[in-house]
Amino acid sequence: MRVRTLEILILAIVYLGALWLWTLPFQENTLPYGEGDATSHFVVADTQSQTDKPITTLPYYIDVRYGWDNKFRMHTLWYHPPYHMNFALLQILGGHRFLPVFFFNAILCTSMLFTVYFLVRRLFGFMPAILSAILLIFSGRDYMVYLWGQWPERISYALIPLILYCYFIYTESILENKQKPRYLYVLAFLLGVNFYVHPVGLFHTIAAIGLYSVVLLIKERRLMFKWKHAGIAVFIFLVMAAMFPLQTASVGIATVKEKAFEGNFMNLGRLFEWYPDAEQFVGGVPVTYFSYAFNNGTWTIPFLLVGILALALRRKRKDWLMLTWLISFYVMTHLDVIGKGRVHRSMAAEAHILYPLIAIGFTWLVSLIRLKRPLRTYLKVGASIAFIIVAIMINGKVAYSNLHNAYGGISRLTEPQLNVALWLKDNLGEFDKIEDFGTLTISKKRFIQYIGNRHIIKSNFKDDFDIPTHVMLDYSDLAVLQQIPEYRQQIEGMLQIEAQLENMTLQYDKENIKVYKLEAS
Amino acid sequence: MKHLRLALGILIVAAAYVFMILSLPGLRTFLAAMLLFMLPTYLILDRYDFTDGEKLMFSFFIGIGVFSALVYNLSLLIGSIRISMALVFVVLVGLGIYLKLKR
Repeated sequence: MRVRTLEILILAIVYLGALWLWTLPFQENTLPYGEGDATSHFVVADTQSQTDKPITTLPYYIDVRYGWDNKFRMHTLWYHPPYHMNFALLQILGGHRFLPVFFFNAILCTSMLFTVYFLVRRLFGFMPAILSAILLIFSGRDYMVYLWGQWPERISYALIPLILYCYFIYTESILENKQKPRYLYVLAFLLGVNFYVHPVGLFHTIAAIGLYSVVLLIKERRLMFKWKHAGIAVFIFLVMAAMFPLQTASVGIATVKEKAFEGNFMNLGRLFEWYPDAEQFVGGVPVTYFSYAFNNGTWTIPFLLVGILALALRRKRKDWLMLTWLISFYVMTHLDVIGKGRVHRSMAAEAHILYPLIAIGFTWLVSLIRLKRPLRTYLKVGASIAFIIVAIMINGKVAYSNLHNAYGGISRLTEPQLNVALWLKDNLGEFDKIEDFGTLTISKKRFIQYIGNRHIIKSNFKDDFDIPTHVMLDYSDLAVLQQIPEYRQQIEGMLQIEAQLENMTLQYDKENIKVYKLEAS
Repeated sequence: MKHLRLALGILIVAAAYVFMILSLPGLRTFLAAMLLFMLPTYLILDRYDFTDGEKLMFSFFIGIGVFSALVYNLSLLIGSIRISMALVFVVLVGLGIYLKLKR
């Protein structure tokens, strides 16, 4: 078997393993799960596939929550449409309402394995590339954000290595006087896709390309691009951005207006911390999100430092590409010092740059041991197998546990809740408002709202416009938790509410869920 | 494509694997994704001097943006996502085949 064929087969096996692990949350149960972001991405795709019509102006049940998110024109789609259109198309062809959305997101989120592999394989060879890919399968911050449903951000970061690959090949071709402008044109298309998927990924990419260009300019003392090529590439990107003017303008306005957590403004001490203080994000992101040990494993730190050192000592152009990518990541995750950026979101791009550095550090250390062939090959393979075993035993174990147990039982939408959502869609008016008591989490309420295409009022955020037309009493989650006093009290409270509704019309009463119309029977 | 047989072999194994873990909707989703987002752009990029791996990577990642961008805009005009999807697919695949024949 040829070496190249063997490499492709190993990569395929690694990827299928990743796909198995990352699809664990919906292999047995295809009902939707995730946090608020998952619900919003689902509904934009779902509305389009259900109606066979593209969304421009938001329907009422989406508009009440997201009507102000497009900063350029309110009540219109706030995301560039292609990302959600992909899922709508796959819902149609996949013949299922939920699985295609979750499965294609798993494919897109795990595609980071391919893009990182692709770049590292080209620059540093197979071993660092495959080790980086294997480590990425277990990257804590990557699968956490994926589970919550902040999918576009994941995918926009996955594109960064591929864009850097194009830029590297193009600049090398110019510096070696063998012009390959096609790579810059592909780069322009990929930047456009990066922008469509999530602008934060685009900003990361531009920062990395910009810094690498500065280094090249200083190192080579000549331009690393041709103006004609750059002009065509900019034109391609602008055409892509102009295809969706409402969303592009919204990104522009949001970028100018966006402010970071103000507590870190001009806090120069932050420059010496890798992560921001987890306390600043209590309630939004778990503390483990800010832990290097949880997300990457402390055992990787020595290899990371060695990897950085190895590149810094060698300083070839490919080494500079990785180093400037690392520096750009640092810049993006410290923008809060100047009052900009969403640094905790930017942190989710960490593994894509750190893991290749870890793998490079490891293989560099192994290469320091001088042996003759075939002993050298045996050492390389043996050491890599040991690295993989450690990665599986430490990082893989945690990843399996988290992905296998994610959103089990009533922490995701249940069959009775799906049934009532479908009933709401068929039986209530477009502008009816339902006050939901009992459904366990806000994201589950949102899934009921979005599958049912009817507005569910959030009880805590009620305003004058939110006078309910219906009350939903969802005992189904609480019935499971009734042994816990806090939830038993909640059931009693709901029974009291129901007692006050005795003169109202009971329209739905199945599987521990009741819907009353607020109109005398 | 130098590694066509290998790529087809991997695709078949991957499809069978997806069917095993996610049953028919999973398989349909997987094949539809390859068909819509990869095939048309792959055929177009095949006209240019890229390696096999580059063509596969670029076609997928350009496909997830460009194919659906075209479908969205066309469906604004004709009012149906399904019809737009079919039209865009036929036009892009046709363009890819035309570029290949013209080479």
